[in-house]
Amino acid sequence: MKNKNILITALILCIAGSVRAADNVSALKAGEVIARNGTQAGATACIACHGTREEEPKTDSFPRLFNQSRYYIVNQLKDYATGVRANAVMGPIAKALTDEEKENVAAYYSEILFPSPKVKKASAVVLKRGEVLAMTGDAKLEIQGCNNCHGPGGVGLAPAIPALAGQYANYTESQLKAWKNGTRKNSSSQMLEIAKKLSDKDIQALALYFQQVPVRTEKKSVTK
Amino acid sequence: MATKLKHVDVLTIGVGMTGAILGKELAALGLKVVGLERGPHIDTVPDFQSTNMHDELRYAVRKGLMQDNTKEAITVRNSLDQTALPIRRWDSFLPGTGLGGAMVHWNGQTYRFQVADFIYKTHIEQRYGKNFLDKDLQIQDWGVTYDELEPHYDKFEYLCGTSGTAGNVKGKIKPGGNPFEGWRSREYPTKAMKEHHAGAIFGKATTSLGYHPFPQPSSNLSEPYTNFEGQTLQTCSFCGFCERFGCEHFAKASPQTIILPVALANKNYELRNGCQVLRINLDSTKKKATGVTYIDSAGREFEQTADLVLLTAFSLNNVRMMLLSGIGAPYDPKTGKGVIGRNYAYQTMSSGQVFFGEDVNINPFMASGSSGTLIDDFSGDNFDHGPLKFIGGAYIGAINTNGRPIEYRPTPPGTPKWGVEWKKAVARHYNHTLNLNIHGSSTAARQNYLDLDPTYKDAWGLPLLRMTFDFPDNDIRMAQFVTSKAKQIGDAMGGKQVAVQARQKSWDTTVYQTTHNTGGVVMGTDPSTSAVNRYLQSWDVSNLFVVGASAFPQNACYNPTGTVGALTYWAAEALKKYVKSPGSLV
Repeated sequence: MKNKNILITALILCIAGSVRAADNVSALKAGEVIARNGTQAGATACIACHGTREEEPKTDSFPRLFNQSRYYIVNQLKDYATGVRANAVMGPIAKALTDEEKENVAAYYSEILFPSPKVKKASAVVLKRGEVLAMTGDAKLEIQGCNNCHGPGGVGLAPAIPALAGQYANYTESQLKAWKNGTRKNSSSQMLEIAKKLSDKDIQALALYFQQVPVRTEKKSVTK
Repeated sequence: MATKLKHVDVLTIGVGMTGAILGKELAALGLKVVGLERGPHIDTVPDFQSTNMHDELRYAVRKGLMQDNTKEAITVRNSLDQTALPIRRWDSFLPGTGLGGAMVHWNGQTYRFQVADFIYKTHIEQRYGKNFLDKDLQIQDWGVTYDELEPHYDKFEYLCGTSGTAGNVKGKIKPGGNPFEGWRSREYPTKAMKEHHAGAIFGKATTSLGYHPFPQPSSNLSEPYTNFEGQTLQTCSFCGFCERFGCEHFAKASPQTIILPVALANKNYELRNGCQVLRINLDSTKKKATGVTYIDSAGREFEQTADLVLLTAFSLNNVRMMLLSGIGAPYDPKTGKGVIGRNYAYQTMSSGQVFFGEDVNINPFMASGSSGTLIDDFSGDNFDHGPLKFIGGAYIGAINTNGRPIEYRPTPPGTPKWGVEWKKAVARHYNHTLNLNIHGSSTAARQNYLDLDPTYKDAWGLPLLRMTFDFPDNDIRMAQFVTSKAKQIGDAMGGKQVAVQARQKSWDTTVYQTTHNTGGVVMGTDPSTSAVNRYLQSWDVSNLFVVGASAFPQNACYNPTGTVGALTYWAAEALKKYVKSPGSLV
């Protein structure tokens, strides 16, 4: 009798689990349609700049949407829509997406793992400075290490805290500056205070450091 | 043979919270101050960064920031007829060591004691009569009043940047705060911490029962803050590594983040780490301290002379240093005479858990050391003790300080302690359990005291401190009463099961309770029942001040740090007068 109960429980759990997985898969599929084609309401296709789950664009002009949680991406889209993250390109796109579309697109772009980009390495001195700031912080500036929150090797701490490892330096640099100049206001209670203590040189060192931190890609991404 | 060092004006024995504040204040007067710290120099960067610090095994289980008890243990027993044995593994309480002391690894819970707490004996006798108390209790007034301390509480909170909601500003009761608190001259320096889900559930239940929930005052900050010393603290990120850890985020008030940099920037201030003070030296009259003898980390012995000695170690070590130096008469529990080691008190901790269904997510890992919601309805003398036949009380709160992977494993009563069923229960309840904290007062009693152990010695050949302690019957009755109230609150929260554990005899050193060890160098107005006067100045040696929770005549139901901070600034004011004209201040 006891065994039978366990069996039934196991069966229910299996079904519940597969329902959840099925939800994810359908969201991801719906998200892919939006990512590839855009929407009637005026959101342009994401892939033009951000690539697909399988292939990313070969330019460092746009942020890599990789290894981020669905939760994080949804929140960024919401913040672009409300202007908490002020951005001329992403603002109108995010506004054009409904909440459900945001969820779906986020499902499509979440938890992708690409290896770190092949870029020309910055000088050893610059990378060292970035590494110290990332891992240990700076006593004089009263800044804690980035990896306290962003995880060992900058892999992120899902769901709330984004990955930094392997991100294009252009993007990381622009974001730290966005906090500093007030155009990015989300997470400002932590990030504004940190960004305003960083010199432009330190910001650059951090961005260049995280760009070349290796991302472990053997972990399989979400099933399609 | 000790090497004699160049004379200085002031010595602090210990550079934790009290030593850092007083060192900074006296150096600012132009006095040459030396801070002697037995532990290492540790700081936010690099020592507290998470790659090092977020190591539960090293810091929470193996107590990496605590006094090294392979060198200096404490022996304990429950009663006079037992033989005390050394604590080989800190569990019940955790004395800190190293720069910043216990204020590095504290939780940041920053309370004020109540108006009545400072005139406890007078107050209890007036309200309940002279024969109300159990015969073994030994309560006293502090010799300082709440009104006198208020500006110093205020200063300490503004040093820390404490986050909270005021309940009583200059006698005006404010909504959202604690209506039972003593008056405060202004609001908290920063707004209250965000309330976690457990706190919200608790707030709703206690409101429905007619109690008065309020946010726990916290010195892990809710927003960036720059204090009057020019030191800036940052916003707490709710990482859940406060107690037993240093804060990596500059978000917790610790000497390193609030005052030490100011002392260290002053040329008059010198910090010496790795200095194990063996004793305070006295002159031939035994009425004047000449300085201290210490051993440095290389094993060399030094004699450092000074005009003024400030004993600013952890409360228990303050008591031990007095005994090792032969200052003041040691307390004798048989005769009730003597003052050093007298009125040692602790905290009477009880607990409860509300086990919810899987639809209620508590997210215990999203925690700060001090972000709970609590009530003061059963604290101190906020309720009529007449029919209850005990004194004291406890605050009750939903206080969730962490959800760390090794030690945070709530399971309902009856769960096996290991094996498959235990694992299942842990997985089932980890995210669906709310903790109730019942934080009770500790009444000083004749039989509880501190002295030197007759057998066991430390690494330098000096006798260990011996602690004789058990919960007085009064405090057990108090714990049972308040815990029964906590059970009712738990029942009102809508959980599936509520478990409570009222504190029982005998005190057990193997179970963590709190590090709120108080008394032993008690303050007061009568030299026959106190070791220091109302300014924390030794009755016997006028150029020695003993600052810390060691001065508490008994312990109220609150975490002691706020009151230690207030007493430190109170002593600092007295010391400013003292240095102009040395001698007894009373």
